[in-house]
Amino acid sequence: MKFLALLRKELTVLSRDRLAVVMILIAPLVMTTVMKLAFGNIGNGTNLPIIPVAVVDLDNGQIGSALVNLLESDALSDLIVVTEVEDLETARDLLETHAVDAVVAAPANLTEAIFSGSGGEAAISVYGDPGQPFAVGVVRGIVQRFTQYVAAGSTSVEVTFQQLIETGRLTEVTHAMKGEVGERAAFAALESDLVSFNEVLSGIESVKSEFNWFKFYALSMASLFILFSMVTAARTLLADHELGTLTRMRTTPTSPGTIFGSKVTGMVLIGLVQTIILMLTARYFMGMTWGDPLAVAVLTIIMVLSAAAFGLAVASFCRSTAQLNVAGAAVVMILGAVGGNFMPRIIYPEIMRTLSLIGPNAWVIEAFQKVVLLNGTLSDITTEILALLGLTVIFSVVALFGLRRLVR
Amino acid sequence: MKPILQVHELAKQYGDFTAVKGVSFEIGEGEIFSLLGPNGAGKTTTISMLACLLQPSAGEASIAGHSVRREPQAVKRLIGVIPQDIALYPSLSARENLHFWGQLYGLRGKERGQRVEDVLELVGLRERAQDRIEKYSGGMKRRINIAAGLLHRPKIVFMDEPTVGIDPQSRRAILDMVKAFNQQGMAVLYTTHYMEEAEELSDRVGIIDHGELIAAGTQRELTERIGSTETLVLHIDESQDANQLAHALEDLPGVIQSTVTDHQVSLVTPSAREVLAGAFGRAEALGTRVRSIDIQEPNLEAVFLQVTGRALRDN
Ligand SMILES: Nc1ncnc2c1ncn2[C@@H]1O[C@H](COP(=O)(O)OP(=O)(O)O)[C@@H](O)[C@H]1O
Ligand SMILES: [Mg+2]
Repeated sequence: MKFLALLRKELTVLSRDRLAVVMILIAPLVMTTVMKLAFGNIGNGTNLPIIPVAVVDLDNGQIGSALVNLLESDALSDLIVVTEVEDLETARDLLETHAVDAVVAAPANLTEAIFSGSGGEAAISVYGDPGQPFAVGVVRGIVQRFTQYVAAGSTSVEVTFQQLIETGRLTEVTHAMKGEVGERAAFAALESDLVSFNEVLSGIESVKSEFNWFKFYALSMASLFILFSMVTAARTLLADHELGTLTRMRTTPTSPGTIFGSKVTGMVLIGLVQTIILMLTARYFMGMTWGDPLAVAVLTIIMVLSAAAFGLAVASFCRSTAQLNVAGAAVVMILGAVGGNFMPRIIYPEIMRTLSLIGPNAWVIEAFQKVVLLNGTLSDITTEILALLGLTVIFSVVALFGLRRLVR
Repeated sequence: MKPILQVHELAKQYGDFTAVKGVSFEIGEGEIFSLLGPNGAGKTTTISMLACLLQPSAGEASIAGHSVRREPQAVKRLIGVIPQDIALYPSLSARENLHFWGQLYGLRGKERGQRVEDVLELVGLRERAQDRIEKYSGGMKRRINIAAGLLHRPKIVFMDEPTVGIDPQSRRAILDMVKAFNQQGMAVLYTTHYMEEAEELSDRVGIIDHGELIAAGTQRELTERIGSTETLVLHIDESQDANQLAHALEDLPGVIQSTVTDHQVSLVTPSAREVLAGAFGRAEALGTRVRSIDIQEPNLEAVFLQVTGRALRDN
């Protein structure tokens, strides 16, 4: 009863707050429309320019040649055009003269290193033209998929050895043995196991063909504006403090839990409404497809929860609503830039990509990309969901600690 | 008279500083009790502890037998707290605000509707009730602010300096409202540093200074304590030095106490008529022009002056 009264008041006050209505409803719709107008006609990946790449194979083993084969395969021919060169100097020259956008180098002894278990030392390098971040990002993405695949292959060799030892069928494994058997196993895995090899290709293929700037921005705007609106909604808590209405509530027979609970419920409801409106508008007026409904629903809910906790955490650092208006917008914009709301994170350098994971939006975008662009399902985004739950808990604890001062 | 509020040795400590030093008093059902004291005396701290907003450091207080420490929810149902500053939602109408606060006090359906109209009537704003609070004048906001604390027919209403910084007209309206809802049977705990307000409203007055309740009783009881003294007030020009004059008058025969408030010098004396000539003489000798004088009967101001040695409005 009191809870509903508080909730109703919350929604009425917000609906009469112009800044809040703009932040929560109008801005996301306008931004998404602008994205549709700007990127809506750029079709699928085929319209991306073909990226010139140089490849250096210093390995001369199976993995090196598998890499070259992959890069030169037909599946990638409308995405990259590959020049094979003899050494790194030649490749660097090509890069410096802008003849290529990226260089992929397989180091000497790569095959041996990986299958003797010391794979970490010899990794495939990608050098990029800093002026072509997107192109470099695409190449890096391809190489990453390849590396993951190889790592999976070498692990399975390792496991096989382990089983042989445990079952007593093998007493001692030497490096050389491992290398020899591993090499053969890997070669088999990469070259003859066409089914799995095609998986690597089809993964890349689907990114390539499904990547669509409008879709990217539609999901990116959803994950950005939820942060804006939750910061805006959290502002009402500070407003209640400033208005003296929070203190007044505490003089009525109403428990702090009810007061705070209604505030959070209000935020979550607003967040859900905002996101659903945005999604439906994109879906029915802009031709967006959102992918697996269950995955999208779960992701939306956890996105809103994490954003609400984020909004409250930001509010807990602010002394006043005026401060939150400024600080909140700044924090969200920075997080948006870091977390990949404006540019796909794949083009970021490694360190930035890792750093961006402190914000919920990077995880949300990552998960949405899997669901929307790669037709993923709930099981494909468990990592992201768990990470978002973790962040929600952290933000909530920070918020609870910080906001206690309001009731002192 | 049955007490509705009982306070026993209530104290509040902020670190090393004791803001309220063990005050004890009672308020009877339907009574108006004023806590009179200057800024920083501990009025807000005391009222906050009674409203369960602040945990007491020591002592006890109860409303109708319910402890503020152990039964805050029961206490909150019985009290109406009227914040000093307007605590309403500007974007909601007066009626929406009142319905909201009524709901938080647990009022439902028809009863709530009736109470909202009743208090709107009481504060005289029924015709404007559908307007948003942000469209109201300051005085009107204050009236709704008070109305919101009366919805659940509290047994006792707490008002912490409700007239600070407002125009005389709104002040008048508020004092009249306090009398009106007191007529309906609600007791009142009213804090102020204006002597006239305490005098006009209160059945009983408590004088508080530096966190201590120095004296409490009816106005008659309090003024009798200081005996048959009068206060002679000399109003002097703004350009002149009141402190110098007060100092010069301290040892004038017949003067018990000499204090400065703004451009006034107040002399406590058994007989104002007898010290008048002497006071004028010394003022003239200093070259201080006295513009007018007042002779006041024993009042709370004089009581405060005598028990604390300071004028109520020093600061
Ligand atoms: N939170 C606090 N921390 C420290 N000192 C405080 C705090 N609140 C009030 N005080 C001090 O306690 C004294 C009494 O304050 P208050 O109850 O507000 O007085 P009044 O309402 O009579 O003007 C003042 O000296 C004030 O500075
Ligand atoms: Mg005060």
